[in-house]
Amino acid sequence: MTRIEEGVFRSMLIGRQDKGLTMRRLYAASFGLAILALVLLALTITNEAFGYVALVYKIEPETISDRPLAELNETELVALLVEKAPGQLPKMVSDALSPMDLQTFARASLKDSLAGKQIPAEYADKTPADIPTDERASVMGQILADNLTQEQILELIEAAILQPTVSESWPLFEGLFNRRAIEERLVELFPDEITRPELRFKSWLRLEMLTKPMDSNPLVSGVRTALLGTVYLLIIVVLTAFPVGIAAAIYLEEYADPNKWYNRLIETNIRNLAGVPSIIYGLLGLQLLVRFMGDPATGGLGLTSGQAFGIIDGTGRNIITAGLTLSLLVLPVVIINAQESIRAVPPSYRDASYGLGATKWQTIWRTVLPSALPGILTGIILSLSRAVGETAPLVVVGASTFIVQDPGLFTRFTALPIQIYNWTSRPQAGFRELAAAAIIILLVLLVAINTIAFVLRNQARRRLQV
Amino acid sequence: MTQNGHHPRAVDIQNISVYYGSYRAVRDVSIPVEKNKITAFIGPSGCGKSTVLRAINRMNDLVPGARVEGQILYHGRNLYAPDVDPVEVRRRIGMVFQKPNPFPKSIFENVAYGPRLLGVRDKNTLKEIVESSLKQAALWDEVKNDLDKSGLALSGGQQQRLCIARTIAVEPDVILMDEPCSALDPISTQHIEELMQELVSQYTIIIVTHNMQQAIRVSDYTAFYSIRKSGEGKEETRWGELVEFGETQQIFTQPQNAETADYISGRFG
Repeated sequence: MTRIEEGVFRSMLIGRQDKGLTMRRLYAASFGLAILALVLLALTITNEAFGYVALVYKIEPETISDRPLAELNETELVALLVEKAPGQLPKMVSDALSPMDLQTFARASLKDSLAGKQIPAEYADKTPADIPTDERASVMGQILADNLTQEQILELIEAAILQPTVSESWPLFEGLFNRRAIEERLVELFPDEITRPELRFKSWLRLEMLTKPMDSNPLVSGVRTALLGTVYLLIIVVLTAFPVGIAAAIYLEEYADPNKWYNRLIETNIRNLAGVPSIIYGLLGLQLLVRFMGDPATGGLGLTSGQAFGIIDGTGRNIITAGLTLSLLVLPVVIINAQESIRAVPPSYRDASYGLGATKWQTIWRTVLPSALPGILTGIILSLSRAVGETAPLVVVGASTFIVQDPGLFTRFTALPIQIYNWTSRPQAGFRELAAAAIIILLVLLVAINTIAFVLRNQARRRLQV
Repeated sequence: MTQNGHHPRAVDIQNISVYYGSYRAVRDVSIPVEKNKITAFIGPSGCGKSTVLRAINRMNDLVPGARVEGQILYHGRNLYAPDVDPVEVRRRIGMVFQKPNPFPKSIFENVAYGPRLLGVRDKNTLKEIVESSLKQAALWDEVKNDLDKSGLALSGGQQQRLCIARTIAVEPDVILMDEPCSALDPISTQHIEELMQELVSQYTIIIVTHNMQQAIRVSDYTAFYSIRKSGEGKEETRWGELVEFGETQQIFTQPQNAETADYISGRFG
């Protein structure tokens, strides 16, 4: 007797297979959609970070030289500097060639301040302050001409004399595919053909962004201070959230009795905390770290603002509080992830370890943690990526938007996402594009962090498999 | 808790009951385990033979709510006395598990794991221990050139012998084996059985097995457990009990108990 009818089985078989095919197409479409979104993101950022600009000079290049500046040699260019901006030359030398700051440089002999550089022998023992005022500019110019390339001097001329500003900017694709509209717009803006600036290609993403601090001119502004801020924040997160998170996970998984109501309550709450909006953590950081533990002037303990460590002018709105706030933010995710990884360690490993006379701690340290490590590292990748991109809690804790000095632990600070956020909301031409360039830097940083964590995780995994 | 040598029994299980919470899983088991002999625990699934085995090296302590009543004497000392540290018990009474469970480490590190726990740091001492343990476990010739290879890369039978070598490395004098061959093919099983015959001159072995032929082949003594029931429907409770204990020869040829006779002849279980 058969209860499964052959006809029904046959007719349904085709439908069953079809269903599988449909689902497969759906999955492929979802994947395609994700890829499309990524490509669009990349295109948008590229479109913004590169583009065309109309530069307006404070002093037109034609008015200072008969020949195009690019054709002049070092000596001729330096002569222009000496003529047009004599007062700025010592600063240029100090900035470009000496590790000292300007004040120290002015009082140090040239052979000390410019060790290893070419300097005129007769001035080697003199300090810039010793050199008579009428000679100083030409001596400094000589040093520049001897030590810098033509392009470098050209840049100095741009910054000191020409002082270009962005009058108007266009994204890359518009410049490539809609050139005519841009030309028309230029004519409209500058009816006079003689003063009309020429349309130039501009890569907003420049290597110097990494080393230059912020500036109010988008053409020369960098992200050094913001990048440092972000890196410091990450270091604080790594140093605080990960040890605490992993330790808490070990406690919850290995020691806490899951039958006790308070342990279950704590676990449930950690899971809920992982979903709390980041701005709430910002408020927590503001109240707890900035106000309560911060500036004594407003009734705080002076711990996070540095008074407890002898820092006088700290306010609590600094890298420490921001970093700890981000730590609090990622802590639940780190704990949950480490817990899952520890739970996933096969019980047979524990049995084997205990069976050999291991104590609980030895079992955790020598067997459970090494096996859980790849999973824990995965969680760390996710948490670091989240911490790098967070903006809201930093705004609440009190990040600044314009920082020129490299940040210290207790000084005012900024971070890349804050900088990007700030730049995108500026009305002046050039800042949106600069923000796109900063986004690329942020993405590169993110990819770098993830690569490191990825390599570490794969090493840990390989150690387990051999 | 060192052995004094005068006691003829390595392990003397005296009237123990094992509880999980308020549930009494095994009741009133008494088995004298002779030194340098192989004792087999047999019986149907759920009869408590593994539970008793895990009580001997206090592995049951790791299960929340588990508790043992009665006493188990190890060379005359009660393993459940308050001053006895279960960590020391497990080192003296080693265990080999049902499924081969080498650590995800190299063969060398697998065997060195135990000695390292106990504080052996010297490289040469560790090498000696690893070599002699692997030799005792009849694995040395197969792996001596691959000590850096992962223990997981070995075949199932080799993995189980690696686990035996790992157990031997901490110098126990009793080895508990919980169905050590149930996941292995017949040839690997034969290797393990031969190995047990060699090891028994130095160790006391207790083996839980589902395979009665294995019990006949390897063991000197056999303990037969069975399941008891009381109540009906939702009220029903089940627990394990020792039915008969004796020399293997006697258990399988002249069982004293009718239930034993039924079980060994394949009529139930």
